[in-house]
Amino acid sequence: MSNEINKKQKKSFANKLRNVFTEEIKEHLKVIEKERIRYITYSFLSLLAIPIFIVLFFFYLNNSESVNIDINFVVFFIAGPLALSYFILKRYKTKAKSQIMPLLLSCLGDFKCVPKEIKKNQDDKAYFKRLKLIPPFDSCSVDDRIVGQYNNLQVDIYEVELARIQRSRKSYSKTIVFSGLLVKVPLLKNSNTVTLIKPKAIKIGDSKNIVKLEDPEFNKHFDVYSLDQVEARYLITTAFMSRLIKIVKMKMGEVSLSFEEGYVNIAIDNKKQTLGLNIPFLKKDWFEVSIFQKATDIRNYRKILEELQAILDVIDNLKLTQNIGL
Amino acid sequence: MENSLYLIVSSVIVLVILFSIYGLYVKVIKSKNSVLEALSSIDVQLRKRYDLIPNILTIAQKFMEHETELFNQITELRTKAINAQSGTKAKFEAEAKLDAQLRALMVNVENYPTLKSDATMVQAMATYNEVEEHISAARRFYNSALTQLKNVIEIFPGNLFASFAGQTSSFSYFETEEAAKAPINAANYLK
Repeated sequence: MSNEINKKQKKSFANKLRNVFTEEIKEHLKVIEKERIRYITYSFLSLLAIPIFIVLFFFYLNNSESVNIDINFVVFFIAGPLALSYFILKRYKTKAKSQIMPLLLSCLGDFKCVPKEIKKNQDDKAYFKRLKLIPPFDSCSVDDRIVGQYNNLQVDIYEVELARIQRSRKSYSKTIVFSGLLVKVPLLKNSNTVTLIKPKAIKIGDSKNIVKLEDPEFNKHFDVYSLDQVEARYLITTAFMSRLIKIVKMKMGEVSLSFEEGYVNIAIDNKKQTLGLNIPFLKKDWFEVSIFQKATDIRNYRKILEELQAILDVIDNLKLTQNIGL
Repeated sequence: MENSLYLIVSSVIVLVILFSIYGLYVKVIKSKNSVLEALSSIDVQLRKRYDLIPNILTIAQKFMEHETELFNQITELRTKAINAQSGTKAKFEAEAKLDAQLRALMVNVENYPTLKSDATMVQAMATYNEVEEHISAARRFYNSALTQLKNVIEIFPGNLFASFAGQTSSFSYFETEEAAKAPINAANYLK
């Protein structure tokens, strides 16, 4: 039944996207397409500096008698253009996304992107800090924030990167502790304590607070922590456990969940995809517009809507919009 | 020299054995206490249900004049369940019967549209549903704690120390009553 509703919903999103695309944004996209070509040209020009430098470098090696190369100089002339090119492309993506997303979100009903100045809201940072779901962090950057009503429920979706920073006089290191999506949905059941569902690999808190649940497959994937054994079982029913396993099988990232502050907080961590390295190229970007696809190509936006739909599927699968006691 | 070495080795062995025995003893007692904690948490939730029943009956009585027999049965079963000793089969049976009668009452409420839409009844039913969910969660906690205790006292060498846990045979798993396992005939509810 729920699958049938989902299929209908997906079909309706696809139809809406087609309508929005042909009637509202196609003209606007032509302007963005011109910009895309301009940004690609800038990016290409900056990368062109690398072969020019290599040619000049070999020319210098052939013609000079004593070879005295400063390695920093070489790194600067290779990494510099690469970084510049990356930032040019990133700028296009951000700009295009901020223009297109509001229009695309109208396909999903009552959803909207939160403007940049509100994205830096200190309340959100304080909220993340209070959450036991995510590890302690020092810096927080919100890439995207989408809010909306889904089946009469307020849904907040954040794409965030949280990092731990260690500074000393001589060194500075940044370790990413979370990079991915954080979905906040009001909890329809009454709860008084914090209940955490963490992936098995991550050990946190006191083992005394571990809640041993009945489902062996669920126990293979998750550990549950709570101060109240009864409340944890009230929130995590056997049906809920099997729904959560379904979500793990969707392989969106490392899924953890908490019931705290009156919300169900779902964290989808893609940190592992960066192999623990702080390299922007490796980072999974949610809701991104591809630079290598024409801005006027509808497939570009289908992917964004599919990602959003996947998150709404998580909410549907967990039946967070209904308090049916299961 | 050799004698003192033997003495040290044997003292170490004795100490290891003593610590192991103590460790097992602690495990058995902890498991037993965990079962008792789970039992008391069921009692706490059941208390909420007992307190809620008179309120539901008072509201329902105003509208359901022909269901006096059902009300009397519920009241009687409530008293029986309150008086039964916690964690025993008798208690579970009394609870199961009370549960069945309460469910019958909730089904009957459907036949009285004015009662069903009464604000206090709606509130009472919502609270009842929440209490039922908590009771079911507490029973799951109890079953889980009992499994742990049984594993400790039935598997060697824990079975040698089972007597530390005292009388455990009175603890039994909470099981769904036979009536609830029977297939539901939807026609009975869709008259």
